[in-house]
Amino acid sequence: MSELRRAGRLLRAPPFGSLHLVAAIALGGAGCGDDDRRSPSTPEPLVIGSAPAGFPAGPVSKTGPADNALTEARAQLGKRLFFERRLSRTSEIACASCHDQQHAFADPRRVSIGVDGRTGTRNAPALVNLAWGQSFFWDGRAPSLEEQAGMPIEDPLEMDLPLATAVERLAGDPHYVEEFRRAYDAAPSEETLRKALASFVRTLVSGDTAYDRYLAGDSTALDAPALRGEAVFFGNGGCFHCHPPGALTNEGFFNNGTFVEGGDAGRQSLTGRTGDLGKFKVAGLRNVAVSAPYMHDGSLETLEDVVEHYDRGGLGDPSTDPQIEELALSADEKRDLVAFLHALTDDAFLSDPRFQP
Amino acid sequence: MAGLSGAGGGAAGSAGGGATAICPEERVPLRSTGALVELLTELTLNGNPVEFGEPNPLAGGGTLLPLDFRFYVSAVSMMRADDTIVDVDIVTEAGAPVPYGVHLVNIDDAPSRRFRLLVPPGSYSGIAFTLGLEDGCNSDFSQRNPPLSAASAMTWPVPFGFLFLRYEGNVMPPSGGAVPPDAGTGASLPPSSIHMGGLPGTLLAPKVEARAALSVGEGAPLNVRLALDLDAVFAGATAPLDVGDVTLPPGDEVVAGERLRRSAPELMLFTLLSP
Repeated sequence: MSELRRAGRLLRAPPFGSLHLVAAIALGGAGCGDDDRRSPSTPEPLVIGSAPAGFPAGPVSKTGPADNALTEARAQLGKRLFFERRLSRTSEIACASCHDQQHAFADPRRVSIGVDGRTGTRNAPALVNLAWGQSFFWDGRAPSLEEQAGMPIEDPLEMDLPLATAVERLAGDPHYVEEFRRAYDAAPSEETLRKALASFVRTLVSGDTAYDRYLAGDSTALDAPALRGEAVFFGNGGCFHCHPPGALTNEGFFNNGTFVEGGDAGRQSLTGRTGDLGKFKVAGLRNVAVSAPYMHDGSLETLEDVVEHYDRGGLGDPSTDPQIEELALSADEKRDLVAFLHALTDDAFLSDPRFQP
Repeated sequence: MAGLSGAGGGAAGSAGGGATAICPEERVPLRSTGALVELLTELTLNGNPVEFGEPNPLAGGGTLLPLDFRFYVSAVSMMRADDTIVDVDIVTEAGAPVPYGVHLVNIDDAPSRRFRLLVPPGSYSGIAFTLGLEDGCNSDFSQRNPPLSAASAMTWPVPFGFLFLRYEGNVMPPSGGAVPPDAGTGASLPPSSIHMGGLPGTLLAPKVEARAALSVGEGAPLNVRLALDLDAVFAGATAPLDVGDVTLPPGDEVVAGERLRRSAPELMLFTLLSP
């Protein structure tokens, strides 16, 4: 395999561009034009750059659906709504309360705490590169970001506010009325509320990890343990089955051995089918080192725990996918694998002021 | 609608073979008019339709619970009784060639089970196609669009190309209890996973055929069921073939897939059935 891996690196390097460069060009171009007329209070643009390695090529600005094209006004409105506590019944919980930028917009708690201290049942997933997602939530029950965006607002365990009430609150705020008019040429509505939130989430693009730089041709970007870990990841660790190079998720649903009898049925709750028992969506791995705890239930606290889980072949329920089997990795291989997972952290994304209120 | 001349192989606009072939997303149509043939794919086991996501009885007892089954179809030709072939486009509902000339069948996704061909009206003896991707398309999924994106769940580590066919299922023996994955070991029970893929320029996707008399008229689309026999798939995946002459990604499922890749042209994997 070693020769093939070397060949793989050579083959891999040319196709990937540098998001850094793309972003710099985008910002630089803006600086020569509109930015010169921007007032000090004008927010930094959100709709910039291109798809990271592994995702369909094209600018982020083209990722919105036909009926919700991604524009700066919509994304900026969505960002304001993302931090808006009045979207919860008690006006205490915002989307950002459970999706913390420092944690790749995931929740460091095992399950999130909603209004009145109510606890959820699943770990809040990271919000990274969802512009290219195929379905949303751990069980994939939302086929679009627009559909996804309204569900936590109405969920009794989360924000517990009927969308109609949320819209009434927004419609009573002249600033929001003006922002909705600018973004959608319409008054606040359930539809535009969901669309605006989806627009902001599409701008949460992470593509500047050490792994990305390595893919782009910087052979020094990964240190020796991470390089060895990459070989395990795409070799006998078998991680590549669900986490393909570049994108690091295949958007599929699998029972990865976390299900135990009587536990969360996952996708089966939607479909009712025997084969969907314990299936959950494959998570993307960019910034995985900062988005603990792991799995749909937050049951694994560290990356080391995750590696051990897969190494033992999961918890052993017969419903487990046949790809999840004992790996018998050595202690060194496990450490290297964790090192590679740490190389998937995009520090600039985690501190990007554009994503802050 | 009168079909334009499309007889013969290797017509301009087809994916073409060879490691240097390109894989344009927007393809030049082979013809601008023709009749539609709509194929609805399905799985069979013991001659019966498979209920996906549910336990299906195995011939020797026990059950098979299919969890994932998907495969690529490309480079489709209609076969004539005189053994000539007519290359045809896989087309969208609007009649344009599909992106890359490739269709991904995901049995778990009902719309993807159906695909359409734009065919010159006439009499045919069956269809032939590449079970997977032509070599020009079998690389570099880095920033491609569906069905050649990472979301296809058909990717392999570089330098390998795409998976051509992917199957996973939970096999329960008559006595109950899970069967550990043992693809290709000669066990009487079917394998629990098969990953058939290729290495660009070296391990190519197999050509397969499905024979049946088809009369394609100029009126309404001809609807045909394209049944894939899981028993034949398992027979190919467990064929007593030594595949140690090539370096593959790790895993028993890959060995099973390579056995299937080599066996596929000789197997009766597909059957054309009336709707």
